[in-house]
Amino acid sequence: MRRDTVVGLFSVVLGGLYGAETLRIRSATIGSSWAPRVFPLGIAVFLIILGAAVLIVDRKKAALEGGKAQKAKARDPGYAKLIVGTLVLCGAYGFAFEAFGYILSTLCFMFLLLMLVNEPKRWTSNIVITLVFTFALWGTFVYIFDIMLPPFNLDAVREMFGLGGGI
Amino acid sequence: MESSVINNLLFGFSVAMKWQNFGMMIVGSALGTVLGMLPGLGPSTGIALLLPLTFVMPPEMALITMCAVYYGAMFGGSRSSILLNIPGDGAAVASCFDGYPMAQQGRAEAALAISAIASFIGGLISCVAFVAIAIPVARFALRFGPPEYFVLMVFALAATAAISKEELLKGLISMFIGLMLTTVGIDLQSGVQRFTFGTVELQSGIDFVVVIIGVYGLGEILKGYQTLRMKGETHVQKKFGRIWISWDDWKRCWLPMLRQTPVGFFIGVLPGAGGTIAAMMSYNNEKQLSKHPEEFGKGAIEGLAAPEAANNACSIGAMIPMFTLGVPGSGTTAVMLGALMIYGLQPGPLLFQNNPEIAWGVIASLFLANVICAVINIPLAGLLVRVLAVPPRVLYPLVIGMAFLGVYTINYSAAEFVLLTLLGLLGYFMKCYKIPTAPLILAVVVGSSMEQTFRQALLMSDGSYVVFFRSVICNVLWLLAALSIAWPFISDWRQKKKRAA
Repeated sequence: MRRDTVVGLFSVVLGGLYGAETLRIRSATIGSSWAPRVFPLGIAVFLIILGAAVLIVDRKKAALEGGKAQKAKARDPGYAKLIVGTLVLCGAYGFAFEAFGYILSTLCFMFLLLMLVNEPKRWTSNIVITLVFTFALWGTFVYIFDIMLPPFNLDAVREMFGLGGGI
Repeated sequence: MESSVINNLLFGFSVAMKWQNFGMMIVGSALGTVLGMLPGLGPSTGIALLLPLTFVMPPEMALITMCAVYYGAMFGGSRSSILLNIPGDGAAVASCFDGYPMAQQGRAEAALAISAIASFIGGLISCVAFVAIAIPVARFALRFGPPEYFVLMVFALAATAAISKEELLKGLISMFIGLMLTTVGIDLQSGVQRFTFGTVELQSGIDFVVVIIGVYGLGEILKGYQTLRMKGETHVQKKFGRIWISWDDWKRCWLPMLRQTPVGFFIGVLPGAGGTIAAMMSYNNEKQLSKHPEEFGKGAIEGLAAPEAANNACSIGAMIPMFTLGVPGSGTTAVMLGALMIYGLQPGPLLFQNNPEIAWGVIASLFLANVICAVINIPLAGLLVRVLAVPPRVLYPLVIGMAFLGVYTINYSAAEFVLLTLLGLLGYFMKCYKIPTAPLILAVVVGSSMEQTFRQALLMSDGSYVVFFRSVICNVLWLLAALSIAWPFISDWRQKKKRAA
């Protein structure tokens, strides 16, 4: 599918879903009952109109180009693995951060991320970077900025694994 | 210049010269230079990543640090253009044209020196211009009521979205996605929940810092993955002779620097037109004015000096609408405006009245940061460019780690990590499909006040939309908004006509 076709469809669908959700907003009890919906509704309408305009312009362009395929940029063949892996690790970090505490979760997160991006063959440098990064930032936050980072929380870990809270 | 302005500026210097502020200015300038050098991490991403770290500072120190980072990034952006032919950020693109050929010809020292000298001169002249016009603009802005502010924001957003004919529609889509994100949470005027889907974490809305770090920081890195292993190892020149220019070089450059500085400054003041346009325009101007246009692109030193002076002038000019009107003109100033709001400060004309230590302290700090950046970028250039040797495969994980910690410090909660990841994915999608991200960032920062002023104006007029055309200011701003959307088409038509003639 052409790049702008995707953008146009995305905008129309997003505008439609957002508009539908706007109509489900509760009416305001103070002032005009419609007031909280007016601005979002305007946004939804514009998203649909602009998406449709992108689709129309793109159709015209496609007709002018005579169905020639758009040139794809050269990409690293393994990039999809990197993106998916990073997103999974980021999501897991979010869940682990408060339960396992900053140090444990960041050590695991950074090491795994470096193994993914900086490749497993550089495992020694990955370990060194992980350790330096984790403890240098911990020191900076705790001692210089006076910001407490979460410690290991056994109750949260139990809750996370469905083992019940408290001892 | 009025004596009160000079007194205020002197007061600003007394604030900026406090050792804590001065120290942070040095740190910020050095960090900014390094961030500006690294391809993919421009000033916006750099400031966004460092923003949470400034939460522990007093507001004037935080703003001074951020301005120093911004300024340092503008100085540093050209280092990788000259040595690697890869611009550190968009505004440094024009510096590749003649900077890299100069380095190839064994003149890297002169290229590094002239880019810092031109940045210094462009920045210094623009700081003086800033001081001269800030107060008159701020006084004028006191006439603005909710309808005028709403239309002003429409103009700023329209101008940012309509950078080119090809990107106009996608720029507007980006802007509306940004506005959409600002509507999440409890509505400030009616107390009604909107788009929270029953999630407690979304009731206070989506923090704009999360959006900026996600879309700019994480999105940029995910995009960088596409070519990560194709780039190979970076080999950077690490040994240099004396980093300075000859008298002949100076004679060729002084005039181009002086005449392109006002161009950059004026472009900076205009919302939307950022450093890239300023640099490109000044490069083309200088090529047209030059007696040796054939040397451009082959290592002409004035081809490097002119865009460097213009892009630094632009970065100072871009701060004028932010400080005096409370409306950002670029992605980076949007981040800084958001920072002001986090500190509970009201950006705009009253900032000079209610918080002179911040307004004038920051303005004075620009003069000082200009000198600091020149010192960092000329004698220490050889040392700093070593950062360019850090491979992206190491840099990216470190930036991701920093981004998550930064987000944690906003609410001391990891609940926003998932949101950050999703916004990073949105940023990646936008970059892949060539949807400009600056309009989204601008909209995220001004969106909430835009809706509030829109509704306040309607309350004032009992629901009549005529209120948005009530004054000359409103009508002129509508006209400017329409013109900025029509301009890419007019410019395209003029070029076609020229070619046909």
